[in-house]
Amino acid sequence: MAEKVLVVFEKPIYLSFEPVDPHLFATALGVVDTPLEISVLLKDSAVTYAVADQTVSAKILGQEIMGENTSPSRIVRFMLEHGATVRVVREHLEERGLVPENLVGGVRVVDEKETVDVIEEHDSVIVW
Amino acid sequence: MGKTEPPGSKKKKTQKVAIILSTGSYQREAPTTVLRLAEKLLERDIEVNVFAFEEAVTLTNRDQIEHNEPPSLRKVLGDRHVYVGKFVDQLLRVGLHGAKMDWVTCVLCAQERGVENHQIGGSIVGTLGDLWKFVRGADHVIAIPTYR
Amino acid sequence: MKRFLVVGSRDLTEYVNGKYVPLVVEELRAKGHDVTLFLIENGVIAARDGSKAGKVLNGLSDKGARVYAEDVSCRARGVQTLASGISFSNLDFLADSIAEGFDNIVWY
Repeated sequence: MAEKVLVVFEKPIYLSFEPVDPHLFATALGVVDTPLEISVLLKDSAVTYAVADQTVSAKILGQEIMGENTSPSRIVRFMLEHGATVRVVREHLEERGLVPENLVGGVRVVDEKETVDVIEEHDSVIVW
Repeated sequence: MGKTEPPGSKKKKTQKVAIILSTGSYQREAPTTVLRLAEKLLERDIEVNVFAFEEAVTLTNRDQIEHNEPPSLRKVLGDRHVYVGKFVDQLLRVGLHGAKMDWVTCVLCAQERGVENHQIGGSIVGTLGDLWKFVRGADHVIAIPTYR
Repeated sequence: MKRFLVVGSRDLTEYVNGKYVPLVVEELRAKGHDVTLFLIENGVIAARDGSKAGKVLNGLSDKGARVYAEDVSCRARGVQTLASGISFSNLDFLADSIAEGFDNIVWY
């Protein structure tokens, strides 16, 4: 039985006619609606999901395609509020000109090698 | 090809595997691998639960056909090619007489793509709750990344 | 010690994580775990004898990881000879291995 599940995001999806990356959506649902202990690891360009200031909005023919004020960072906050652990990889932040101060409060920053410890600690790993 | 032996100690017998698939076919190899692996697991009496997410909901679209190839290319392509839904259907039928495969299609993803009412008989339109129940109940979870 | 199965289905010579998958295998081995790396789909491209990535994979083998390349994927890509330290394998082997049970399977 899998009880501790690590969910890994690598490539961000924005403005895809979904309110948010569907994998993020599914993960948040797992966090809030199931007894599983779900942790999130943001690596590569998906570290941007943890950046605090995100405004996801676009218009086509004057019509907003985003129905709600939704963003990945809002989902990250939501998951943290519901007890999930969210980690980002330090080297991948730095490569993209980001520092921990840019992130949503409560997100943990780990070195790339530490991600192996994180993998080790979980029963199952989902790489979206 | 050299013969290889399975590694290490025989810790436990796996009974249930959950597979999460998010990619459609015709551009990606992942569904082929999943179906090939599912066949092998079923042969070993292992229950397989597939959760088809995102583009994978099109794999079980019942309206797929073996279309004719363009005449000018038939010399190199043949007359027609098979479609993926046929193999999902056949693997579901294998479960009638042995270890079963369940195939759950994400309702939200199917609605977005207009295929909710076009699913083959054995595909169960379900929710993300089913995904997490599959994960929780599995001895092993195999999640196929979307991007390759 | 735990038993890990790492499946590499992406092209390690191209994908940005081409360095990450070997890192995971190497670090798990360094921690004393039993690690099998099973290359499939475009993952086998790195296993071809003479490839630069093949040397990396050979290094993992030297460190005690078992490294396999799936036969169907190899044949499809014309991979006839593998880099040192890598063996041909197949889906029966993968299914047998899963049947016997790993502590964790990570599919990249």
